[in-house]
Amino acid sequence: MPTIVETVGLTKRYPGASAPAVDAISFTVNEGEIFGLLGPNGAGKTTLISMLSCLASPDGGTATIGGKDIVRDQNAVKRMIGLVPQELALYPTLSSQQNLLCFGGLYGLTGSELRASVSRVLEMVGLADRANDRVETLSGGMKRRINIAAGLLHNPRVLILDEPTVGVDPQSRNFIFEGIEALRSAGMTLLYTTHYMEEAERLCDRVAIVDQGKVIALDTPKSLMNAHGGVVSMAVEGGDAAAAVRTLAGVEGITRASVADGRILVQSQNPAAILGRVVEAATGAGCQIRAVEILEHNLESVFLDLTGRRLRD
Amino acid sequence: MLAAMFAIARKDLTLLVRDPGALVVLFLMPLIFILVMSFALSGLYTPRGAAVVIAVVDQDGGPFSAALVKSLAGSGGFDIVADGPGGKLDRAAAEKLVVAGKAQVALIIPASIGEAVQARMTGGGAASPDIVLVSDPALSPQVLTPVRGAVQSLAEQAAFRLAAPQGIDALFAHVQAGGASVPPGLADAVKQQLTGGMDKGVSLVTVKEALPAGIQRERRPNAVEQNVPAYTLFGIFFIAMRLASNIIDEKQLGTFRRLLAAPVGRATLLAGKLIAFVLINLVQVAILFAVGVLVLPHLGLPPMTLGAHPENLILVSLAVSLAATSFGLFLAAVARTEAQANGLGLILILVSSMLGGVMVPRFVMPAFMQHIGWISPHTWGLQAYQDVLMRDAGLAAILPDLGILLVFAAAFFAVAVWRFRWD
Repeated sequence: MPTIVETVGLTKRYPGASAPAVDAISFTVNEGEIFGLLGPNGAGKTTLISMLSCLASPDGGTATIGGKDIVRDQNAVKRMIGLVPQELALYPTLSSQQNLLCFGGLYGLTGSELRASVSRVLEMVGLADRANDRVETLSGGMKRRINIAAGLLHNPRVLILDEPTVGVDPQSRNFIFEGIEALRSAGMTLLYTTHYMEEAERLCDRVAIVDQGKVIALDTPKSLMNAHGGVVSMAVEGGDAAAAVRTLAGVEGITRASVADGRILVQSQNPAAILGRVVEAATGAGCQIRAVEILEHNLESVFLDLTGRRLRD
Repeated sequence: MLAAMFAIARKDLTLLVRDPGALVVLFLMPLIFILVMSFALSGLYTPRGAAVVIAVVDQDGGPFSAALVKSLAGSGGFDIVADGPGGKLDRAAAEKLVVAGKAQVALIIPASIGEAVQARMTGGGAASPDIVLVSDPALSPQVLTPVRGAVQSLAEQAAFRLAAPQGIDALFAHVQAGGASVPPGLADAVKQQLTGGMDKGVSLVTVKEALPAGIQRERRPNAVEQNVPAYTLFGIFFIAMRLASNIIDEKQLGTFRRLLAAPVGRATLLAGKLIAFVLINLVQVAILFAVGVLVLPHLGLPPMTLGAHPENLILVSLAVSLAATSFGLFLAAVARTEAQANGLGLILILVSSMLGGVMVPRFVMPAFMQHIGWISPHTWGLQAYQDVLMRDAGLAAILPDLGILLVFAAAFFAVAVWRFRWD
């Protein structure tokens, strides 16, 4: 499939910050796929998206969308992308329709074309019957849906969704997921940021795991989980945790063992099966066990394994 | 680009119309100011009950001037001052009294006017010299016009009383010298007819108005002509705070990111915003001026007209509005919060309004305050409005004011673009 988004060494450093918010990130997104950016809050996802939407200028590296440079050819780039910002970027005292008419007008849509476009996206998010209601009177989930609709008015080639399900009830969340899958079926490319690993697992064709401004892993969710497996995370106190890790390193079924932040982390394709060995090793090294957690085969465990931290700290 | 600008303008107009607080500040507040201040200050611009003080400079020193001064003093309503510390007043001393506000009017009775009046009655001599009324430049027409009328009629009266009997005597002397006989009693009848001539508009004296030396003539506004344009201007500038709040709101809502993410230039974006607010300003002007012309006279306040070139009001309003909306962009650029924008905006607008003659007309201010006032856009806006409303100013006369208002607009806009935080 042809590449539609490409970044090479993209970097952004905010004045006064000790580390870059985005640190030499390179990846490509293929046309028609849902590409996930998974990482904790503050990982640099929003800054990355801001640069791709021409809202912030990079301090280093380059990026193109549909072959157009995000610095030199901003109007062409802006026309190709639709942005769904993390915050509800809507005018509360205007109706859904008035909001959408305004945002459609910004893309040069006028008259019957504009009105048709507004009806189409209201239909897509299932809120055609609430078109004349003021946004402030809608539920949180409905506002989220209008927020997404506003990014679709000009039929973009790439839709960038920044944490589109924050604060959404399960019903609206499912509605949003179905909508996103429908857009992919229609051939749209989606760039989706989230810190919910279930969302990335369910929706994304490929996922880039982002932490501290860097991409630390990039693959399909399945390959990432196979490569990293599940994790036993054990909080310990006292004793020699390092000695326990050394004991576990050679055990069959354990791919990796490490210590981070007072936790013994043990990676395995079948974490439940090796739990007994981990407890044995920890007590054998004189450690007191405070808590044990088994993370099955998912992107959460991949992130924990890669960084030693949870996604939602 | 036009579609985008229109989309932003329409959206901002709808947002404003749905904001009751904004409507109160922009429409109700200036209206209340106009009403309250026009009633409260109507005494400042119109005559009070107290007697008008007239400083008399008697350069004639004959029976004519004595008769005129006597009848003025006897008419009631005038206090006559004829003497200064150094004896009889001369013109310079009388003008000083006028400038100092100790007299409203100086009356200059020129030398030898008495002889000139007599000469005219007998058919000889040129026109008599003018009687001059020197008035305080701040004096309203409501005071000056009756004073002028009284002086004119009392001077005519004095002239006829003095000159007619002598004229009649001379006439009859002439007839008798020719040998014809004059029936007894006829001379008296003619005398009476002649002294009644003043009622038929025969004029022996003329009264001219003048200002104290070195002071320019200007028509003074009445309470409505002062307060309607002044508080309209005041209201127009309050749009700046709404504009600044609107932009800061957009940043907090996140909608500003959406506007920036659209393929729209930054200039287009700001211009789209200005359009909505300029339109609101024009509606403000139309409503407040309509109230001034159509409603206030029915409440017993003095009248106001739109002047000979009312179309120029649109140009003035546009220039003022551009200065005000650019000032709003400036506020949005330098303030980080809505509270900061409102606080800074209020202080700057109030000070500029005071210096610009909105609260207190500039002509009552001392000279140095009038000089400081030139730094206020309100000064130029009010001057342009009053030139069009009261002085029938054409385009050429208000061009300098428009130019300076546009310079204010450009300066605010430039600083706004320079300091604007786009992220």
